Amino acid sequence: MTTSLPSYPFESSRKVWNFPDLPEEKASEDSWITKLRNRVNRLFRDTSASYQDAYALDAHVESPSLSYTAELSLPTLLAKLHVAIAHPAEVIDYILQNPGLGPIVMYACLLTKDEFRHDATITLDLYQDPESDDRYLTIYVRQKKYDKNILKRIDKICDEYEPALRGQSGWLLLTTDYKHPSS
Amino acid sequence: MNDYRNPPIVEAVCEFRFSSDTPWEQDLPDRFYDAVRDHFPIRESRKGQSLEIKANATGIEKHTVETVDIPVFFTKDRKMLVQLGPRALSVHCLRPYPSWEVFGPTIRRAYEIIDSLTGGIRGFDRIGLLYVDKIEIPGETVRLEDYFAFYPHLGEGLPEEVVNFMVGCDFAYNDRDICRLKLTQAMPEKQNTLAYLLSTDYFLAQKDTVRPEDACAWVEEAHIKVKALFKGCITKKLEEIFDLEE
Repeated sequence: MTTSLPSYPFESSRKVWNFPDLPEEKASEDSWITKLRNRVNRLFRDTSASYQDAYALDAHVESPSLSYTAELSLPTLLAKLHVAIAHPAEVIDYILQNPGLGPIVMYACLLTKDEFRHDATITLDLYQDPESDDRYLTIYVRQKKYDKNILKRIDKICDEYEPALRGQSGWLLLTTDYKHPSS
Repeated sequence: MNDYRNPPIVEAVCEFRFSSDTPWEQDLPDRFYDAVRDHFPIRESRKGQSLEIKANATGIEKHTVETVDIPVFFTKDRKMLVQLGPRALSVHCLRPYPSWEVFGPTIRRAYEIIDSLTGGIRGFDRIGLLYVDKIEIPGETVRLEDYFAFYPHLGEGLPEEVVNFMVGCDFAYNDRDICRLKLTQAMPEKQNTLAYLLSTDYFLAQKDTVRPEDACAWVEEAHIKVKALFKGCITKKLEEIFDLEE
């Protein structure tokens, strides 16, 4: 059997998805986790559930692994949203070392995609401060022609996801570096 | 699993789920932290879900879901961590995997501390030893049979171009344990490579068939089985990528 680099012919969704068990927050329709669950469900409602067999379900129902979920769920979602991961090994390592951050990253990427749609490229990367040990995840928004309100639009998204970061180790920044999307 | 200079392990986990009659007091995480803070000095917590289903002869009697805070204890470099769920203990080792000689004793120590703090573990709903391996193979096209002895077989009537797959198998051991093997495609970290995620999950499938005093021996035996199964999954050509130690 031969496998090749995935090309996703016909622009269809990947017919496999594994997502972490998103924690319930009872009596809170407005909570970020409820919004995230609804958005993920909406995004994948046209996706065949045929892969949701015992083995796929087992990924988050039975397995205590942090990496199995992160390795399979995050790239699947980001591929669907056309969000690039610049340095996958470093990004996934950071998420593994900061359990709880994964769903917030998903939420922030979904919000960013909703806001900018086809108007920008979105890249997730790990920023390492060259002058200190400080490291944090960064989502970069880049446009071919920069909108003068881009920072206001970014701030609006930050207001949505940043409360979820309270009490978490690790940090997630959403910004633009004003570079060309192809850089 | 540590016979390679370039091991593919991204995470190893040993998890104990204790029986419902095992005492589990609210201050257990605090007392556990006091006992392990030399090795696991960073204490945090993450949210998890606790699902409780009670059944009777006529069906489901009660079904509750509640959010629980799961205390997490990290080593200084955050490469090893211990999680305490409700009546559950899991010890995780992230890459780079040190060796079983480091991971094994860490599991034993964490288990013995819990055993002592609870006043004696009564039994197990599940014990599991899980290895997740991420295998990257250079090239834009890979013939799986060149690298794996465990892969999906496609008959002649099926298309050859596969863009994704997931294959799994459960193996029975000792009339009591199961090892669940899974192989799926993953996200490559380097350009022009293909990545695969191989997970080997050896677990106690029949609750209360291991005595608390035999738990660590069970884990040792599970490690031997997992190691053999991993070797059985791969070919010599793949071992060359991992750089087998002489």
